[in-house]
Amino acid sequence: MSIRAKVSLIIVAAVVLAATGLGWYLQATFASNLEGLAERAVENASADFEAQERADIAKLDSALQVMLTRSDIGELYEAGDKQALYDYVLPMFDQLKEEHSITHWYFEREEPDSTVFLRVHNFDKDGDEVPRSTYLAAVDTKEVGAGKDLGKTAFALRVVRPWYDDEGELIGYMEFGEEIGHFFEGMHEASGDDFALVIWKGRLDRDAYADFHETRDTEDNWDDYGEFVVMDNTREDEIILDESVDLEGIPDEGIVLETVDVDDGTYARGAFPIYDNAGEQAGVVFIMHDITEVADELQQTWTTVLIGIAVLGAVLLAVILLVLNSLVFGRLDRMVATLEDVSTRLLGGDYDVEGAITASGNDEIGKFEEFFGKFLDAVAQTLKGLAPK
Amino acid sequence: MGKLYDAVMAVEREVERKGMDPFRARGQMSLELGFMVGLIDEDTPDDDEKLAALLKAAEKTLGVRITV
Repeated sequence: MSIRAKVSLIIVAAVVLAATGLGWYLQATFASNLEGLAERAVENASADFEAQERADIAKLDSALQVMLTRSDIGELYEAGDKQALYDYVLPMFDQLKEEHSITHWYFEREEPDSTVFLRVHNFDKDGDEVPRSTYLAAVDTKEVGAGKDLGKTAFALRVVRPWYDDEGELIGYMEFGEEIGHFFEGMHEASGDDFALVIWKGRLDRDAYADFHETRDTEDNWDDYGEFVVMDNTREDEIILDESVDLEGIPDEGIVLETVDVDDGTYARGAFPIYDNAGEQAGVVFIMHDITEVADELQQTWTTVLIGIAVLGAVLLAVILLVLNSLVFGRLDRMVATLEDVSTRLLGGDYDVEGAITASGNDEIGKFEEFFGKFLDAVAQTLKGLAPK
Repeated sequence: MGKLYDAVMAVEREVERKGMDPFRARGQMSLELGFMVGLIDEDTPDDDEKLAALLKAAEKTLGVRITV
């Protein structure tokens, strides 16, 4: 193989290697950008969730404080007529449900009784105790008790306040609640992200869960997701869920899961833990963030850059080979041809070789040409002396 | 004059007849032979081995068989 071919191969290999390395680096950078985007989406969703919780607690508390000032409601409650109280507040509850997504309204007796006098959202059920953390906090502090409480069938945001009559005497407690699913609908509408809430079965009551769905005429999905129950899902499919993840090991700041491609685009997925008011992890919120546009843009950029690298590499290769040919190989070819011709003619008796070989430049090749020209001239003069006259 | 010198003369005539560059033709034959054809003169002693090589080189370079 000629030196020209060897050098060309080395240069081609170097350019291809450099282009591949650059392409790999760009791919890694783009992947890192996408992961960063997914991380921010998870962080934002977690922050939005907390902000939504704070806003909804404020909303529930405001509505609750208004109701606690209503002496007409207080009189009916103190009269102990459950049906009359129910009939009176039901239109208000319907309005609160319609306008503010308030789904639970409790009237609870003061301690030591501490039983439910009326569930406006479930008239038939009363007389039981509700030892939830929000209620217990209100009883202990005689202030507001608020937060996420996991009931037997659902995760709900609750606000409980003590209720006093005009003389300032404690007559009971009033509680508003809303299902967490309402959060996700709002967040989905605001951000376009999808959310799914899964809760450990161990934190729920199987029978109550079955009754809950039977009453609402909704599908009982208890057996669909292993140790967990999917409580809410803003998507119609279950691509948002990832059963391979150790849900108990998810850090508070959340994690990014694998990106998924579905029919309508590319999505980053993530998950963050959700805690109840007692600080125990109750489940996990999965998030799915649409990154189709960014992914497409990055892919397009990557393709453009790759083509650019290929074109640049080809141009660079051509320039290097042209320069090498001009400075080295072309001159070597001409030098070899001249040396062959002059040497052959010298052997044939043409001793007039002075000046036949001249330096083509002041460099390595030129110096060799100059040296060899002088050497041939010396040989020619010697041979001329030996040749027959 | 020996056979070797006669062969060289025959080669010279053939080169001239064919209109070839004599320096180049002799040079190519010298490269084939490993010695300079131009250094052979009428006093050069015959050498059968050199003569055979010269005839072979002439045939290859000039494309004709030289006989002496």
